[in-house]
Amino acid sequence: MTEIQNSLDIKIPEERMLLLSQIYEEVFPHVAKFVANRGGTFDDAKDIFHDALVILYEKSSDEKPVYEAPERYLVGIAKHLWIRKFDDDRKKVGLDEMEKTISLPEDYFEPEESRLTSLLELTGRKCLQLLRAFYYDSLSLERIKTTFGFSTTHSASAQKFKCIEKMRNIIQEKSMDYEDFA
Amino acid sequence: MRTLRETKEIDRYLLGKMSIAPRLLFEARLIIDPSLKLRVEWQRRLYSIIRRSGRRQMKSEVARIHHRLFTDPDKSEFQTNVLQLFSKK
Repeated sequence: MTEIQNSLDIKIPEERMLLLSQIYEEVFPHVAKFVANRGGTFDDAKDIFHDALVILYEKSSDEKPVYEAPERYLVGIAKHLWIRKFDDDRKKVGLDEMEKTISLPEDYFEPEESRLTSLLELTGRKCLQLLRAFYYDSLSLERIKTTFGFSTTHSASAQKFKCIEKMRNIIQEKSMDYEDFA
Repeated sequence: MRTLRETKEIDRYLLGKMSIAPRLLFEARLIIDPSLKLRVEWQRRLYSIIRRSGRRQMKSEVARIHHRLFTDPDKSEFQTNVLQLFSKK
């Protein structure tokens, strides 16, 4: 059995790989067991667990690092995902008090805007990386300054808004063309 | 710069960081200024796309970990333990 090292920082890519591998090995069997008991397949367990890891990541920020005990938390997220995906009865699944407090990101099941996403990934790579650090990774301004090599936090913040305007303009231009496909 | 100030305002509005009075004022402006309303909508879409893109990357990271754990011969005990759960009917 691998021990999960809580000292690893999920927001640093190399450390995240290690941390998530440890969590995977430790917690996936629990989630798989739950899914198997509810009549799901290996692939169901895999999909649910992958989503649960992504959601765990989204719920941790510099101010609120990854949860002390990710095991219970991940199993809780997985149960919610199971209920949501397979419309299973909450009562039969049985959520404990802690699990009841968990909420899934509200936009997680919205349809993807894949055309526009791919376009922005192609045309605005650098901006998207910076904006991801702010709006997806929830990194602190100080950390973003260091990671992206800005001289001050002010210049990091200024660049953020420039990027927002640039990307928003692309969306504006394209939204007319893509309206039917979006 | 007027546009930068507005972009920052939209940001605060979308992230729910405005207190009640400025928010009501901003929402009133949305009603009388359709072009501002559009910029808010595009910025909202941008934020949603940023999250999609982040999720996509995270999912591929996780998929790589999965692949490694289920192909690494050193992890055969882990593999058996999980696969067994699904073999018995």
